[in-house]
Amino acid sequence: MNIKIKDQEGVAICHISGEINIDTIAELKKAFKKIIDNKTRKVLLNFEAVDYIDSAGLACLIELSRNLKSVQGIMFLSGLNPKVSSVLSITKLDRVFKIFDTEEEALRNFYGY
Amino acid sequence: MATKDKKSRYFEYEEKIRNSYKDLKRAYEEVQDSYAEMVFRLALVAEYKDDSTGTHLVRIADYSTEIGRGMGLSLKDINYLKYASVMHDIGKLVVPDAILKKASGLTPEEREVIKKHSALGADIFKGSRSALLKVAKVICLTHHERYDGTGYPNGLKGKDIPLFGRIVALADVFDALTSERPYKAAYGFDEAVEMIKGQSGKHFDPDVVKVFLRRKNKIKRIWQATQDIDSFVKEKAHDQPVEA
Repeated sequence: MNIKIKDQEGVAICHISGEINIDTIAELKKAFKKIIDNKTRKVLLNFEAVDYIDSAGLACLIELSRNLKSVQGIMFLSGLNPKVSSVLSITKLDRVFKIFDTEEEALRNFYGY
Repeated sequence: MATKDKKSRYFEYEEKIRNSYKDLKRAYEEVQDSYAEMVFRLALVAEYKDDSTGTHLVRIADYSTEIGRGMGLSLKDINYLKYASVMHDIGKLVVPDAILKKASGLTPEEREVIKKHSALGADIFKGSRSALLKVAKVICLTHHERYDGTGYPNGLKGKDIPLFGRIVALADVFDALTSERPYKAAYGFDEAVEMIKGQSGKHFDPDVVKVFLRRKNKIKRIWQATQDIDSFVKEKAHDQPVEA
C-alpha cells in the first residue's frame, strides 16, 4: 500500500493505492495522524487505486472519521472499485460515509462545509 | 530512409500492441472485480436470510485470509480463499425460513434439513469453469466436515478434507462462538480461543489450529475491528443519511 497526500485549498487529498489490510494500515494511521496534527479539517480519500480493504482497514477509516468529527472536520471517499464498494456495502458503512464517484465531484461537495 | 520507415512502423506496432495489452488487462481486471463483487453481494443475500450481519462475512474472509497466509498459501490461493470463503453458507438460501430462524429446539428432521445447506451450496457452483467458483464449491461442500471424520455431508477425515474447507471450518466456528445468537450469548475472545484449542485434532486440523494460535493477536485485531464497525454503524443509525 502507498499513500500520497497533497493539499488543495485546505483539503487534504489522499491518493491511496494497493491493498489496505491488517499488514499495511500502520502507514495509513501515521499519515492520518499527521493530517489531524496539521489541523487539516477536510480530508478526501481517493480510492481509485485501492484494490481491497479488510476489516482492520475499515476500522482505520472509522478512527479517522471519529477524530475528524471531534474537531468538526469531515471525510469524503471517492472512486471506489466494485470490490471495495461491496465491502462497504455489506458492512453498511456505505450508509454512513460520504462517498462520491470521482475526486472532482467530492471536491465540489466540500464547498459548504 | 527505408530503414527509418521500417523502424518507425515497428515502434508504431509495438505501441499498438502495448496499448491493446493494457486494454485487455484492464478488461480482465474489471471482469475479475465484478466476479468478486457479485460473490460478496450474493453471499449477503444468504446472510439477510439468516439474520446475520454483513460483518460476519468480512470476519470469515479476514480470519480465513489470515490463516491462509500463515499456512503459506500462494497469493492466488489467498485471494480465492478471501472471496470464496464468504460463500460458505450460500446453500442456506434454499433452507426454509421457518427452520433457519427457529431460535431453539430443532427436531432431528429439521437438523437434517439444515445440514443439507453444504451440498445445496456446492450444487449452485457445480459445473462452473471459474477457478474462484470452483473454490467456492469446495468450501460450501466441506466447511462442516470435521477432522476426526464426524462431520457432514460426507464424513471426510483428516487431510482428505480440502485445505480450504479445513480453514473455513475453523473461521466459521470461531465466528459463531464469538457472536451472539438468539439462543446463546457470545463467548469472550479468549474463551473462544481456548474452545478452538480444545478441538484440535477433533473438529479441526491441528496444523490449522497451530497457525490460528500463532496468529492470535492479528485474529483479535480483526475481531476488534469488526466490533468497531458494528458499533460505529449503530451509533450513526439515527443520523440523517447523506445523499452522495
